[in-house]
Amino acid sequence: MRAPLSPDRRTVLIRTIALVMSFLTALVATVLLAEAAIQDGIDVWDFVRTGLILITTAWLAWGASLAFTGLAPSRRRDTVDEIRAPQPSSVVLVPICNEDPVSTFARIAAMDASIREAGVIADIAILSDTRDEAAALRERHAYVRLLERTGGTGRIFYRRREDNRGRKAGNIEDFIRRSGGAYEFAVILDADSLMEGATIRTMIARMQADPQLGLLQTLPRIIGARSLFGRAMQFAAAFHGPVFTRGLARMQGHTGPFWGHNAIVRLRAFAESCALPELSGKPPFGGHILSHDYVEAALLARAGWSVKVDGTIGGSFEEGPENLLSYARRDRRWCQGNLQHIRLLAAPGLSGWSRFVFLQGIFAYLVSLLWAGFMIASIIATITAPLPDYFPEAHNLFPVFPSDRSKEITALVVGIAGLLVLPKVAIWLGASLSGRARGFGGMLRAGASVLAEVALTSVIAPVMLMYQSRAVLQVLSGRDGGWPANQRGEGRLSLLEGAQAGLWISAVGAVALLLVARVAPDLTLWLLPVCVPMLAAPVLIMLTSRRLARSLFTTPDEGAPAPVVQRYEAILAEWSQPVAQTTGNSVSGAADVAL
Amino acid sequence: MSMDMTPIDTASAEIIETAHWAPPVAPLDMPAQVLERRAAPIAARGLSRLWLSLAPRLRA
Repeated sequence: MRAPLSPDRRTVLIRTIALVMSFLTALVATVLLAEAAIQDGIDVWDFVRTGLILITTAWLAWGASLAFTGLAPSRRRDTVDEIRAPQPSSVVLVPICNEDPVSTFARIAAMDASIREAGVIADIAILSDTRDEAAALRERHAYVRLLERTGGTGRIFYRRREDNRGRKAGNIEDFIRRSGGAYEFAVILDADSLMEGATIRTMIARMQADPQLGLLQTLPRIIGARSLFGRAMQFAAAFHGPVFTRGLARMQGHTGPFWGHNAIVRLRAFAESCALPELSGKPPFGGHILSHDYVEAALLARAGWSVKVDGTIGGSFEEGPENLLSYARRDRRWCQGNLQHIRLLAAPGLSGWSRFVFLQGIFAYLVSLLWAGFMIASIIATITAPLPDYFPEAHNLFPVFPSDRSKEITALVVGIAGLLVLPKVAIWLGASLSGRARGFGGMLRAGASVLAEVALTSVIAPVMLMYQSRAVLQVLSGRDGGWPANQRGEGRLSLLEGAQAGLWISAVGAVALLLVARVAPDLTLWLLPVCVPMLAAPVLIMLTSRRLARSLFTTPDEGAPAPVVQRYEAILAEWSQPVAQTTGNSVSGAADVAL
Repeated sequence: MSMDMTPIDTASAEIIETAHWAPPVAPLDMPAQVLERRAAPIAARGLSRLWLSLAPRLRA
């Protein structure tokens, strides 16, 4: 095993500045709150809430520092995008588990054509972990149709595991153990991934040019969103995502991220360093490692390989959740996976930054609980505060009024809002100046989309906070949520579905509001921005799942879809048509199920 | 791990049974990685025990 690569001086400097700025920002917020809190005396709840505001504001400031770090455009550098002859043997891995075979195999057909057009010699291996026999039968039928269309026999493979040990990570590991020796590089995709052949070509060339590079992650752009929620996420990923990713790349140096898909790995590096063990004990903290990608990135770095993310590589796509519920379901899985990393914080040999990345992942979920704790502590501190003493000394002739600290609280609220909004405004300004905003409908339309996205995320934030807090509490209390397959393509939800999933949030919001109005009426107004969205949770869940016209949240990919996306849509439309039985068997109809 | 290689029907079998459907056999070793320290520090073990005793109550 080689020694982990050390970060260069620039990376260390950027990390130091970001950490110091985050801490200082958090310190200012803490002082503002402390000044307001001590005006009616000091009790234990003041310590609790100032401690919590220190941590939560530091987290927000850290997110903002990522954006600001990524604002400066990249310097032009000589990138090698041409593969050196002879072409290295490469394979595109598509792990699937209970997916819709029609859309999944249509994507593969589109990518295969694009790969051949780009002159890339690469096999495609569909690695099925599908448990349901009927679904597996449909997959095999779709596979036959894929071979018929592409002439991919001997080039496109399909295999299904009977033993799903290790889930997706185990699925890929099984492939590497059996067939990894045949290939130098593997492009790892998800069932909903799409990638241009030219992108794969670029990625192979980059891997060839840098022998230390163990993994290269692209920034997949979300496509195909139709609902208000989905389109807002799609816009945010396309508009803000590249800047945050550039910040991440600058901050992480050689210890970059792996997001589990839309990345290329050097198979020898991956094989020698990424066989994940089962953790001792039972789930949710023991057993298989759920969020395996973060761990694999850390293990590659531990073994001395470089892991990088490059947001400038285009032609990499994925689909996103279409409504708040499918987002929350995915978040529940990620929450459990990230909290499991608590077990790995002290893993031997990891670089300090890898441990810090684990800590960030853990914190991304714990922070919801901390915000909830801050609000509860603030309410209790107000309730338990002693009544003002207008005559602190017996001989005073005139009353002494407690000083008004609403200025400090207002400054704190504005500051916290600023940490959330300022990076997005800065990104919009940067995009307007550089001309990038043109792809998003121009400066004004992009600005309107940014404002609408900020408004939407602010309104749904309390609902997400409740789902995340529940997920964290479930995991901490030992409840295993498993790793159910993604439910893709989910769309519109009814009010009844919204109520079934969100009525408990309304109930919590109503109880909190009534309680505060009764015991601490001064706080009622402050809590309205949190409690009103909670009360409206079922309606919000329903409304945000509705279709949205393309006038808002425009993205470049909508105006000019990439060739691979156009090809996929055409194949999907063709395959979704009810057809006469082509193979004369009973399953052909089932495989032609329209979406 | 064994693989399910059952052809789905006679028409598909012509393609599926050509042996091209499975990826090439070229094994690559993947040595198991160590992620847990053998002896957890005393404090971590203490916390772990405390948590194991508290978790069932929390769940209840």
